[in-house]
Amino acid sequence: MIALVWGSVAVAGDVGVGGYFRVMARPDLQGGIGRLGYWNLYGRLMNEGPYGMLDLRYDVLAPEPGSNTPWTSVHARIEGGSIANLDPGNGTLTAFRLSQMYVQGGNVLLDHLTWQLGTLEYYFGDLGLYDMRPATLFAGTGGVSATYRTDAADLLVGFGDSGFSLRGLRYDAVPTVGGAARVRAGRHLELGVGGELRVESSVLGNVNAPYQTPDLTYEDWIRGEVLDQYVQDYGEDLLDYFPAPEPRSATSYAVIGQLGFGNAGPLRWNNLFVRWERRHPDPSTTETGYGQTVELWVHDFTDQRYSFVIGDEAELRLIPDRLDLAIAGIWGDDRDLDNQIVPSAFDRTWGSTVARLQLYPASTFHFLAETSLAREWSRNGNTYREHRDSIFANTDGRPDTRGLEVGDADVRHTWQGKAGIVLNPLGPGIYVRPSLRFLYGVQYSSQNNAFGNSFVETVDQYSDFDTVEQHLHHLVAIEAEVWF
Amino acid sequence: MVVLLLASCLKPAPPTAAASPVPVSVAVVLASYDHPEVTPAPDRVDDAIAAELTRRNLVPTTVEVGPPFTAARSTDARLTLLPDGARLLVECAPRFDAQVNGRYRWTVAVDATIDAGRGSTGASRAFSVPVHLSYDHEREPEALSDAAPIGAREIGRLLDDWVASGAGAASTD
Repeated sequence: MIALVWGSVAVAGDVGVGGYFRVMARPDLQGGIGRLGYWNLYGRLMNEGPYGMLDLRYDVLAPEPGSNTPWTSVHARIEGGSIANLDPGNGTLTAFRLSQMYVQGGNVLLDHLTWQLGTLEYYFGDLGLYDMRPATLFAGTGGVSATYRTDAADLLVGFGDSGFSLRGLRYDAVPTVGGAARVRAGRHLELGVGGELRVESSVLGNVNAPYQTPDLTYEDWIRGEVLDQYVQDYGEDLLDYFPAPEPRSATSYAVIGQLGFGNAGPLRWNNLFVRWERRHPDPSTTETGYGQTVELWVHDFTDQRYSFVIGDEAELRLIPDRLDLAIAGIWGDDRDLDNQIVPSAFDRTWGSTVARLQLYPASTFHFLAETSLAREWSRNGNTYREHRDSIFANTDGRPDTRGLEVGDADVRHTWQGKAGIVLNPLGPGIYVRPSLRFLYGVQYSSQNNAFGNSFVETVDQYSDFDTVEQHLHHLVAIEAEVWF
Repeated sequence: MVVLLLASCLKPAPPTAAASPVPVSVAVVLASYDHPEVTPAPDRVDDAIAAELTRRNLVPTTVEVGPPFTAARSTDARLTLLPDGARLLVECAPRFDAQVNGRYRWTVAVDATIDAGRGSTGASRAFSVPVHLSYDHEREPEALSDAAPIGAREIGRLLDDWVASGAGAASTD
């Protein structure tokens, strides 16, 4: 009777295999490691290394088109960034991990409802020019989620534990709850909001729970002089009575948003993503001295790290099947309210804009040109060396062996330009893959040698190698990229 | 670079063409895993399939896909909805797989069936085409549209086999 009502019987055993990889050869004749700049802020093109991903799906009970019979599938994903002959790891499997594994079940209890048990990562969309996904939830959570999906709206709720992703071998439970909702108005507009909350409770006696060592100062901790200060205050004989940590609970959260619009004239689509996050506190660090290693619990020094990211990308068909443009911008503001003294990756602003043009003189033969402009600012002082003989440790630009700043500038400006030929077997489209690319790239940076390199920086007269000053970095590349 | 340019000038082998024009009724059915109804395919898909037919001296006539195709749940039942004579039925079912490195991976399952009319022995070809959409709001029509180049090529191979078997000529007798 059920088969007559719902139609044909579902089948088991269907297998789907897909994935992604990018490979490249970029011989770097300027002493670099084969990447044009430091990171994707300048656009993903020529700034990323090799990558491989294999995504597997097995249908325990396959869904049937036009039917709402229950279905179940198992998913697994292996991915990593090392491929033989293309990076220093030379394809080592230690660079790969089983990044996702989950079971999905659909039309169980309710039509259009899909359950997911296992890893739960979910994102609203992608800034393709940057390979960044600011509006992501549950990136480190394992648990259960339920997604109700219709043409007009999606609703996702999830619950799980982020303890292993945050604490690793020193696991402590970090229950995580969150959700996302997105509505669509026809084919031209969609709006999404979401968030997640992570709470790590105080557990007396659990060495992996959050704590704070009392009577520490932030500066002593940053300088690695906690033990020195303690001995100065109380004497070395009392090191055995170093204060015990006080229990804490740790909370972090993320709020995400998305606004998408398009399918109008030349605008294929525009996506705006927003993320506001309070980072999860760190548990502890260690300091060694006076013949012993002491663990310093630092919840209070790391519990006020906030991050705000806003990014936008538009894809336009300027001349259909002849000329496309993708343009994107991103801006991030990272603030550490506990840190007022040392330059840090948690205390800076960064932003850029990237534009890519692709011209199609023939269906499979394209020309590509891309440019980007970026600015990065360190809130707590100098962190960039602009010249081969720039100072190292300093305070406000004055040499100071106890200075917490490095270099002679708190701002880095970077411009990149790339151009070349693209062969796309499947025809026109900036994001059509597979692509074979033959590219030339150039970078100008205010920082000296602003790319991965093996140059010595010391000005020691006894060094066997001299320092190098260069602000222009040139690179040629042969690349292939495919989703399959 | 010169070699690549010269290679782009190489022409593929011509398809197997019918000796004389053969009219073929064509229906391209787009099914969904989220809805019970079937819908017509995007124009890009119809155009790509029509081009493959035309290259083989087969004259396509598009059959409108409507509610009767939803009610007819099997291939044989849907074939009866096409006019008698040579008929090509292409049943497409895009299915969302997963978010993969910024893209939305869909697999488009295609079942293509061609015969010379009622009572004739036809030929069929089943295959799947993976596509990677860029945006979440893109669904079955966009997935099928992206699969059109590869899908049309596979259907072309089916047509080559059918024409070579002589079934195409038999349909005009």
